[in-house]
Amino acid sequence: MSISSKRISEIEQEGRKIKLDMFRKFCQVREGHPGSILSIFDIVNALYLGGFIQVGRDSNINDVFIMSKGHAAAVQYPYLVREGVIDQRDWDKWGSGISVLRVFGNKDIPGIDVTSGSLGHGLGIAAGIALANRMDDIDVNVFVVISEGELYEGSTWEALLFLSHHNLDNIKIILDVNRNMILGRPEDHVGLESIDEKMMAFNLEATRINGHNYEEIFAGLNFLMTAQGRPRIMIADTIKGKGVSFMEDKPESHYWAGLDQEKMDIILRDLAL
Amino acid sequence: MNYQRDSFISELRVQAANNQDIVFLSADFGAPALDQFISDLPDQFFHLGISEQNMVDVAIGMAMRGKRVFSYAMAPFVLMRCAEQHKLAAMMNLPITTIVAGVGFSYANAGPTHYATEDLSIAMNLIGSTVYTMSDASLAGACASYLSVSPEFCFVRLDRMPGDDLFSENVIDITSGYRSFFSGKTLAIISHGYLLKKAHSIVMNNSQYQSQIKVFDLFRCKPVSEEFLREIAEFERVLILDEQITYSSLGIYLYPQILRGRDSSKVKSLSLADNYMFQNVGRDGLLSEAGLCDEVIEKEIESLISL
Repeated sequence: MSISSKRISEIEQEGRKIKLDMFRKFCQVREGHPGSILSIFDIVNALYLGGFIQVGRDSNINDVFIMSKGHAAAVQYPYLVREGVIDQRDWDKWGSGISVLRVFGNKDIPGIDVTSGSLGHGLGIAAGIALANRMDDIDVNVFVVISEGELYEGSTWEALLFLSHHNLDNIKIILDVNRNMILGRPEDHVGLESIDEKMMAFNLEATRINGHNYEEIFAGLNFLMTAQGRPRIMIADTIKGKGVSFMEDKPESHYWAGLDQEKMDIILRDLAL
Repeated sequence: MNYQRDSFISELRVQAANNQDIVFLSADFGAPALDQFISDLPDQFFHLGISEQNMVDVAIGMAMRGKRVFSYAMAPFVLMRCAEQHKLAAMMNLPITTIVAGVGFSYANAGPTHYATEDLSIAMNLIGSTVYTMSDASLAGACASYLSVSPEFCFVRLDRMPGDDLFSENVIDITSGYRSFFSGKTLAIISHGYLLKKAHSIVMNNSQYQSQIKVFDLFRCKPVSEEFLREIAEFERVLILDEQITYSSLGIYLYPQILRGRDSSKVKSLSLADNYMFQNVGRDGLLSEAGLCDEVIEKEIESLISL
């Protein structure tokens, strides 16, 4: 997919507004996982606004999006509202009334394809969906966002073996590497690198990008979209809490808990810049 | 002597030949009937490797796309190792049948890693699950036929060893969730699986028992049918048998439903103690050491009848 630099820049700018609106909402909801949402935001923004993902309710036509790192599922909501899949009233009432929206995604939320929250399931489910689609000659993409934390789950590697063996190239894997677990950095505890080599050893084609550089994100997404025969993974180096001064690269940005009004003001100020 | 697994899979093969949405997943667990399934319907079979967790996740994905998924592996691994995956399937209310092979002390020669003497509790405690336990091959075949057209989120617990059919000449009504043998009215024996056959055999070999006892094969213990509860309500004395540890046994689940209005001293449950058994003495030897041999069961029967 060819997108001009001008359009990429517009998408980045549009994303800033969406992100600010989203965090205004989060300041109402006062729960969730801001650090993880901010690490994956730019990629999700590019996916939706760049037209990489076909959004809608008909799963025979539209793509599947599995936010396997389910604690970041809320990043999808603004885009699903824009597309009319999630009712605007649910978005408006979230945090102040009755709404279908939750911090973790679940199948009761329109446009959320898979219930998530426990880690390590997304790739296996994606493999099942892609396999069934192949049986039925349904040609849609299955996007899966996983976190590096999910690489600690054995089921992730079981699924990688399986989808690689079956050459499920309709599965587009996006790996968010923000190098922050709740209790520290992977390299200080149970190291994960070299992730690229591990993926290639599993017979995936891999590219590694800066997950906040839009030119690189678009190049990476184009890489995913042009898979032929072998599944591809885009490994994105990201920054947890990206864009909020006191959150960036901080493990404590994982949770909303502890964010008082002063901090919420800083969040909105920083994201408005 | 017939194998439950072969009966189940053979019937499923017949159904799957006419319905391409039926798919069979195995985590490297086989059966002669599965060889035939694979040979006849290779596009509807997927070997997942020895990765039970991924098998359940893949089953979730396929079921989301409308496939009627049957996944198959050895009992302790496909239930205990994958509890969270099953929970996810339960949350999404997906019609996946998990075939749980080799329950109880089926793998007596292998030791406790292969025993499934606590698996019932996992299947029972998954919200929205339906739980079947087969006591013979004809029942297993009937169950496969039923589930292939009426898919549900369920677990079908199979015995490893072959055996004779109890009632093969009769049509089995899967929807009722139970069947009964003999027509006594003094004592109801409720069981499923291997111990159901043991109870059946004990009664069959004693003409006096046959006029006193009715044996209930509760092959669907969740949910228990109202019809079954109504029939059990007619009995003052009840004996429940299960090849599970007490905390995972039929007795634990049935007590709240059948004790109401009943003299609790006339309801007994025999199950396994809360420990691992490493003795290499065969299945009946293990049951004997666990206090579930024929003699103990008969003693309990006598005790209840004499009350």
